Amino acid sequence: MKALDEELRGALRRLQPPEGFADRVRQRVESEGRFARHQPTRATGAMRWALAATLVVAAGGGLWYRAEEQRRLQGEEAKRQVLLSLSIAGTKLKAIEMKVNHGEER
Amino acid sequence: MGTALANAELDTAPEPLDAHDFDALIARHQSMVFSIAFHFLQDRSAAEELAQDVFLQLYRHLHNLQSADHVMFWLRRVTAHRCIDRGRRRHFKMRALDGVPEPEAPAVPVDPLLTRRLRSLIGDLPDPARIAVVLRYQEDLTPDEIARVLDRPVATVKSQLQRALKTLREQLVRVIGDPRGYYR
Repeated sequence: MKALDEELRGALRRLQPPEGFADRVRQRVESEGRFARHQPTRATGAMRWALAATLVVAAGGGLWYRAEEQRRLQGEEAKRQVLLSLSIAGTKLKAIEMKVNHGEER
Repeated sequence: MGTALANAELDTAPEPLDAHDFDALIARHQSMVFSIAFHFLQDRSAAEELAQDVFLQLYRHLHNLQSADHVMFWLRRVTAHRCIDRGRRRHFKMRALDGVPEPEAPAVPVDPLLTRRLRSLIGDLPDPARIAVVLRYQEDLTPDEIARVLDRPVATVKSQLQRALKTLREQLVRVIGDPRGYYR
């Protein structure tokens, strides 16, 4: 039992990592630092969300304004047509009235 | 060396470690981290990659660590868990161990063929037992300490170690023989 323990300790003794290991770790730390500087921070992330929300609100407002404008123009067109119809009807009534009056005079 | 690590060595009031301590920590613990990874994975480049990942994670967590003992425990724990995760993701094929650098001459003479055979047999152990054996015989941890590192009950660790040793003994006797009952 003790023999196996000793053999295991021998087989599992600590080894040195490949040469330059520490330098490669430092390089990875530095490159991660550079990468992290270009990553969005929490503040820039919030600003992006705010900008996106503003764009959505602006686009929604624009669509709503356009729909309202279209409805107003349609209303004005309908009003103009009603007035035109009333005007035509008035003219016709006036012509009939003149005919009736002219008949009575005879 | 940073103030925190110097304080930790002098046993003064602990304070969080910083980037200045990092180089000293790599120098001090690279052998331990690499060896745990190598003995578990039995693949030199995979072990180096894993060890680099561990130190990168250490760099990000430096501010949470306050003493040399805490760093040691944290490194063993993170390395062991990363090894187990890596083992779950892929099955490592045994590679020739000839390229592995041998350390300075050990105090006890070691038979290189037996060492190679033993490492190979350790590589065949199930992942949970293998990491327990590595921590027991590389790091000389007690079953209690291994249980804390691996987040396992002590009884589980003891049973895994016993079964692993039984398997290793049987395999070793079967492969190299034991006419004088040396391993029994």
